[in-house]
Amino acid sequence: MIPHHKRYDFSPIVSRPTYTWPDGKRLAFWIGTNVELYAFNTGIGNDPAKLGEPQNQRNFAWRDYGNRVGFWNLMDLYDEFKLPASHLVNSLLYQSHGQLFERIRRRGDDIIAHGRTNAERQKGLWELDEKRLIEDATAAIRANEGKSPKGWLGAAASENATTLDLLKEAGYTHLLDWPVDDQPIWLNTRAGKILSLPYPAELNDAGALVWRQHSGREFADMIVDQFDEMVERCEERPLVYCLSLHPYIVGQPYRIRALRQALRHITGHRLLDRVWFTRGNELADYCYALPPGLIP
Amino acid sequence: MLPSHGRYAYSPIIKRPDYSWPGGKRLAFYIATNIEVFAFRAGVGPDPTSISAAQHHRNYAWRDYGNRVGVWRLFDLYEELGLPSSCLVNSYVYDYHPDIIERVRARGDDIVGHGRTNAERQTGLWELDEERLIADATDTIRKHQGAAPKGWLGAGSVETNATLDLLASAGYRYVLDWPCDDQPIWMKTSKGRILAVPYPFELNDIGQVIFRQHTPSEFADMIVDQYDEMVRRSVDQPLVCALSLHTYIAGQPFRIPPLRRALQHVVRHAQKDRVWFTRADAIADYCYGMPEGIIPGG
Repeated sequence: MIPHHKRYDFSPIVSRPTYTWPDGKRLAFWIGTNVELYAFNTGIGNDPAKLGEPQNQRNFAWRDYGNRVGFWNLMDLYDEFKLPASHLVNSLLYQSHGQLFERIRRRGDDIIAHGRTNAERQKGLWELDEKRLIEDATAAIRANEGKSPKGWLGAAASENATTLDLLKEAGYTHLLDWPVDDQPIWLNTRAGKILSLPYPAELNDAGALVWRQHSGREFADMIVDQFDEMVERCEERPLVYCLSLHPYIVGQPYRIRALRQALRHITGHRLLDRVWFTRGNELADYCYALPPGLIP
Repeated sequence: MLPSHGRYAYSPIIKRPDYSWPGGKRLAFYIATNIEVFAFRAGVGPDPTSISAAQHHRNYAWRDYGNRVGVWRLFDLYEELGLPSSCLVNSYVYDYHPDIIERVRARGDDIVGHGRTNAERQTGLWELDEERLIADATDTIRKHQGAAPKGWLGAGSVETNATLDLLASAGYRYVLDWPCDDQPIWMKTSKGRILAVPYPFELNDIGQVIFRQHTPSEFADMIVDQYDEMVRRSVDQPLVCALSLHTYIAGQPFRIPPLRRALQHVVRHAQKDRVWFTRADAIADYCYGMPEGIIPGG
């Protein structure tokens, strides 16, 4: 009666087979750090104060702060708590921001493809042109990392009707565009199944701090509440907790301060033994290795 | 003092070297026929009654009429009057409507690059993606025609700051995007010069009939007035009178009779011996063959 995507069937979380993460863990915790590059005075990009504000030198500079300062604040914070992280990278960064990747490699963190630049959107592109965009990003990562990326998040998680098919055909094994579940699920594509990993629309500093205009402290409270609830609920079923951060947003010193409190709470939690601190690509690999029928 | 394009310098038409078109003619007249394909319920495209209409099945169908019906009516009209035309062809027409290409070839008309589809615009594209769009359109035409097109009009006649340089790099000899003169002029690009051939913003059925909502008779009056005045003025300077038509607009039956009257006036004009009834490719070729310094700019 109403349009359907046909990518997955309904499955209530309470009726699924159970499984665990490695070593019997029940809550997979991972951080997606969005490392982005923008076009000066044009294209698309967030503004720190006004929604819908046109591109100007000020909001460009505010976002560029993320690569120059915010990223390093965030890496130091992750190091403070010895947290692994995934980095969702705009591929154009390889041309001019090599130092970011050096730090990512030193941390042993993984790279997830995140389009070419966040100054554009895939939505509205003809399939031919979207395929080229995906190939541009994929090729840049392959050239610089020595292997193709397996995970994808579109810029602003933007998709067209055939994006999933193109990604599968381009060799991707998992993607983050669909905030549809607290567990990984399979999605149908014309070339076979692809894995959808939980990645947040809400526990996301762009959504919460830019669009909904919450404060750093309110966001820290969200992070803590989400964790507390999930670390208790994961007793019943395996869950994935994912936190999305953007260096140009949460990397502001006053927000780092609030985030530190949240991470301290998480890493000192009494139920810490339930938690698998992991990265996106590792999580996907583990799911692929599970016996068939466990991932819905 | 003000931002400028840096592509051509000022030159008043009254102070330029004189020349004539072939055979001593003074007015080059050509009809540009826009042959276009659109995306169903997606992209951009005009509507016959509402300027700000969203894309829907109805305005898609109205435009598709141009390929199914309108184009044949226009070609028949031209042939009634013995008129050549330049065909500005979206390259996807080769995939969807090969019958139309057959007729263009049978007429001996030139094919001018006109993007891939009029459902998109080059503005807003990164240079790399615009280069690819131009290459897609150029390669399709080259593959089917055996040679690349010499001229280009962007979909919607829009450009980015890089377009002229990209077109020159892709081997284009002339461009129709700049309605700044009644004569061809040279424009600067990073890969040498390219010729801008006059192509109308105003004597154009989509601008007048769709956006400014004039009637077919008013448009026919414009064609007649433009032509009459230019035939008159061409005594002083060689000029180009170009008329732009779209198969899905001018090809509607009720628009054909006023257009027929206007074109009959054009071909029967008392001073028609001053007129070179031609095509854009031929105008460009003739200009390229002229001695240096005659065509302004460069």
